[in-house]
Formats: sequence, C-alpha cells, structure tokens
Amino acid sequence: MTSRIAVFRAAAIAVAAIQLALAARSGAEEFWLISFLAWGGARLVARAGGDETPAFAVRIAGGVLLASSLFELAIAQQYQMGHRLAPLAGGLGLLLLAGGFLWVRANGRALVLLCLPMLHPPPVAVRELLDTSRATAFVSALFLRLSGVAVERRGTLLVLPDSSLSVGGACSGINQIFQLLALAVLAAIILEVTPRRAAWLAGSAVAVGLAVNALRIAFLAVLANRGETRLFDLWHQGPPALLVSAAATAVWGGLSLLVFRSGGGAPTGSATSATAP
Amino acid sequence: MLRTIVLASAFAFLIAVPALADRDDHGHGGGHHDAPEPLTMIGLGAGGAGLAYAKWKKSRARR
Repeated sequence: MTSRIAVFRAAAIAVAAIQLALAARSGAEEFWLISFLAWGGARLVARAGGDETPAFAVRIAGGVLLASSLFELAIAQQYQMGHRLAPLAGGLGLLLLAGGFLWVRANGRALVLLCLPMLHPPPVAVRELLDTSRATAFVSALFLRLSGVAVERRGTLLVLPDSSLSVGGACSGINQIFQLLALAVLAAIILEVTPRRAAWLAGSAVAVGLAVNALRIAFLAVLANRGETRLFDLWHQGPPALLVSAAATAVWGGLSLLVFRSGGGAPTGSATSATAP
Repeated sequence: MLRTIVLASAFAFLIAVPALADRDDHGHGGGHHDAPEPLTMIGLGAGGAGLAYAKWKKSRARR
C-alpha cells in the first residue's frame, strides 16, 4: 500500500510537470499560474482511498482521461478553452488508475482544486453572463461622491464636470473578483477552514474584488477629469495597473486574517491550532 | 448505477468539451482593449505564496 501511494505521488508530480511544461508553450500566463496552484494544492490534500485494485475497465477509462489531458495540451500551440479541463481530466485519470472509485471519492477536495483553471480567468460566457460593469460604475460613483467629486452616473458611464468615463471589459472587475474567488477556494480547501469561514472567504473575495477595482476606476475618473492623460494611461494600461491585483489580494488577505483572529477561535476546523491563514 | 452514470457523464464531458469549445476565450486580458496582460498574475502569485506560507506555518504548529 505504501509503495502504491509513493508511485501515485510520483506519477502525480510527473503528470503535473508535463502538463505545466506543455501549458507554458501556450503563452497564457494566468492559465499556467492557476494550473500550477491547482496542482500544488491538489498534491497537498491528496490521500489514499483504499486498498482495492481497480477493475480493468476503470483503469482503461483513467488511462484515456490522462492521455486526453496531455494530448489536449500537446496538440495546441496556443491557449484554448479545452486547456482548462486538462488538470481535472489528468487528476481524475490518475485517481482511477491508482485506486478506482474509492480513490476518486476520497479525493473530492483535490478534484475541486483541479477545477480552478475553469474558474479563473473567467471564461467569455461567464463574463457575458455576470457583467459587473454597472455595479462597478455604481460603487465608483459612490466613492467619488464620498470624496467630494461631483459625478453623475448613466448606466456604466461616469460623467464628471470635465470628462466622462465608460466602465467596460476588464475594467468591470470580473477578472479581479474571480482571481480572489480562486484564491478563496484554494485557501478554504488547503487550510481546512470551517464552512462559515469558507463562506466568509468567498463573500469577501467578491466584495473586495469589486471595491478595489471600483476605487481604481474612481481614481482613473479623477485623473481624466484633471486632464492628467499620461498618468491616466499609465494606471489604465501601463505596468502600475498590474499592481491593483496585488493590492486587492493584500486587502483581502489582511481582512481575512483580521476577521479570523478577532473571531477568538482558531482559523481552521481544528480547535487546537493557533495560527491564522 | 448512479456512480457509473456520474463517471460516464464526467468522462464524456472531459473528452468532448475541448473539441466543441470556443478555441480562444482568453482574448486580451478579459476582453479589454490593449489592457496589460496578464491582469491578475501578481495578485495570484502573491496569494499563492501567502497560502503556501500559511499552510507551512499551520503544519509546523501542528508538529
């Protein structure tokens, strides 16, 4: 049994490494990173499910899934939608090969983590279904009014005295929200938090993602209104714009840490742990 | 029986979807015109590193 687990672990690392090497060719950095986090998290929570040797048909199914996941990544030179399923297909295939249904059942958390590449970056269909542009414009207008800037909102358009700004595309904040949601799922599973805290992590991820992005939009609106075009371009499309996601992660992580610590108890399901996530 | 149906569905989904799916949904950083890509790499990397540290700290505390 011990050697079987060791072989499974080695195989999981090998499959993850091959998938990540193949994914690196696609040029989609966010997909690569989320796949790396998904495999890393899955490897941390994976465990043996029993001693039963899987049936031949189950092993064939596992082998086909595993091969299809590698094939999907190998044949495409560029990133494509099907890549998102490769980690899950690879993980499920490995589990079926190693221990059949018992191992699949024992590794639900690892399989959920391998679904993360489907969540982030949000697919086109999700972005169209969950258009957060209006909500972002609303919160941005609120921030502007609170800071004493005269603003009128017409749908997704923010009208200031000397300029106007339309909120759309990646400025809607959907990428930011889904990035924090992916981290929330990862945190909830690898840190084994209670369901209440998992709900807090997910809810706060949405709220912080929306609020931080709305702050960025409000800041951009002020720059546009002052005629600071160079600064506007820099914070809109230049490298500083990338720092917004780091700021959102820091705010969300810090807030979660504060809430969990002020809760008085342990941050995880364990009553003995004294550390916070 | 249910287990077989669930597994067969998952199997069919994982095999068929890549062939049927939209070939490129990544676009320019989430559909943004000329936006810097990748938009959320730094946050994702920082969050992943933070979680790895938290997990390590938790494991150490348990020992």
